[in-house]
Amino acid sequence: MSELTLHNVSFHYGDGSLALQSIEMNLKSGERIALVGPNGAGKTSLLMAIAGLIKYSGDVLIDGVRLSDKSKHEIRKKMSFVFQNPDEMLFMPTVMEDVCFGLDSLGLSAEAANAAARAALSAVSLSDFEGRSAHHLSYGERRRVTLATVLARQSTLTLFDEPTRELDPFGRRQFIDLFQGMAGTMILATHDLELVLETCPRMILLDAGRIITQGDPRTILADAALMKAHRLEVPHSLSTHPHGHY
Amino acid sequence: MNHGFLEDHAFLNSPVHRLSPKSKLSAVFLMLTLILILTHLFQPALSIQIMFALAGILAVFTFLSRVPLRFLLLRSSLVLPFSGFVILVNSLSGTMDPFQILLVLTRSILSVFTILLLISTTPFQQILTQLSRWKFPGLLVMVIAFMYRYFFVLAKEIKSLEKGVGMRSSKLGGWQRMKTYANILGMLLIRSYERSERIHQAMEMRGFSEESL
Repeated sequence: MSELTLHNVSFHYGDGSLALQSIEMNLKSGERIALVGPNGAGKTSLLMAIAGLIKYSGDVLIDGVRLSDKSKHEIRKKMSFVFQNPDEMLFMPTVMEDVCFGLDSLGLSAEAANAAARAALSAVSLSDFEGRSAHHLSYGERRRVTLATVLARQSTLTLFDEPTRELDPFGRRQFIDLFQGMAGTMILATHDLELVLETCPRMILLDAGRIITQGDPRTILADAALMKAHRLEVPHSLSTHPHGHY
Repeated sequence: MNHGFLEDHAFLNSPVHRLSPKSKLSAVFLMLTLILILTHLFQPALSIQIMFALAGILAVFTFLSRVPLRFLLLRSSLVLPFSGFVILVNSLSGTMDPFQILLVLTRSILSVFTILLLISTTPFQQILTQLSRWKFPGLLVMVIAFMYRYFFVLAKEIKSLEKGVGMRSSKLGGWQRMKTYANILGMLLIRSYERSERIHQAMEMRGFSEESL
């Protein structure tokens, strides 16, 4: 499990607009944290910065090692990133090849990679899909394959970007069950506030690229004024208002 | 449009489907080479006769494969506008006689028909696996795989953009329609570029580097 520290991380888009501003953040090993905020708050940019996929200023340290062009290949061996859109993660001819993709870079032999992929596909209940092509699968199934790609890597730090987006209730429940069973440090960027309540003991509220507050989701998400000020809603399970969320 | 557009019949059970991808790909390469070099080896009249003989062979395999002939002919005919353009350009410069026009047409249709018959009788992933076994450059196989994988994703995006246009303006005049489609194309290029960046990022996250090829 990995420990993560962000110090004074800022990022500007190409047009000069600010996406992240002086982010300070610390995650203990094995911690699960949710990033919550309105559209354009900087959630995806923050995940991208942690993964070293964008050029930011400031420092990202994973297990005490500063993320840089030189160290990123080694650091990424510990890390997985589940993108918003499964079509951007599944590009190989078959599901099996997709799950095996990149496992050789972790030092796994072909046999070990196949075994890891099979175990991961079994965990997401897609054992019979090895030879299928991702483009023949339903959206929910493709989502589960992306989870298998992460499980096979046995990462110690996993980043999830809107993992329950466009999933039906059953698919969402499947994701939650899998997520609960996964090991390692995890960051979940999401608009699904009920998911946050169910899976993360800590959350960060982001807006306009800045951290507004962080702490226990039950306290933060129950604050109707805070939610409204940042274009969010008190989740239904915390709402005391009989006819609405405010 | 989905992958069924090409792969609808790839999972049938026929003598041609049961042939190994290796033999089918070898036969296709041989057929395409023949189609391409015929005119350099023989006189135009004889070339056309041989071309018809090749068409006969393809017809036999099509019959055995149980892939509907209409399906293959319709999709093969999509090449006609391109052949027509080549014929038009060369005719304008006065370098084509009727024999050569017939040759260009039969050559292009037969080539496309051959490839379509292969795709309709062999799942695409098996074709890619065979190319890799033959030590085709990894980059080339990956580009083909990506083209196939994302062509239909793009086609789906065009469809949804078209629907969006249709819902908001059902009666577009010629010029307005062209302008709108130019915008759709521009939007698609931007989206494709952004998507390709994200795919590359996803690959990088899983340890991909140029050396992996």
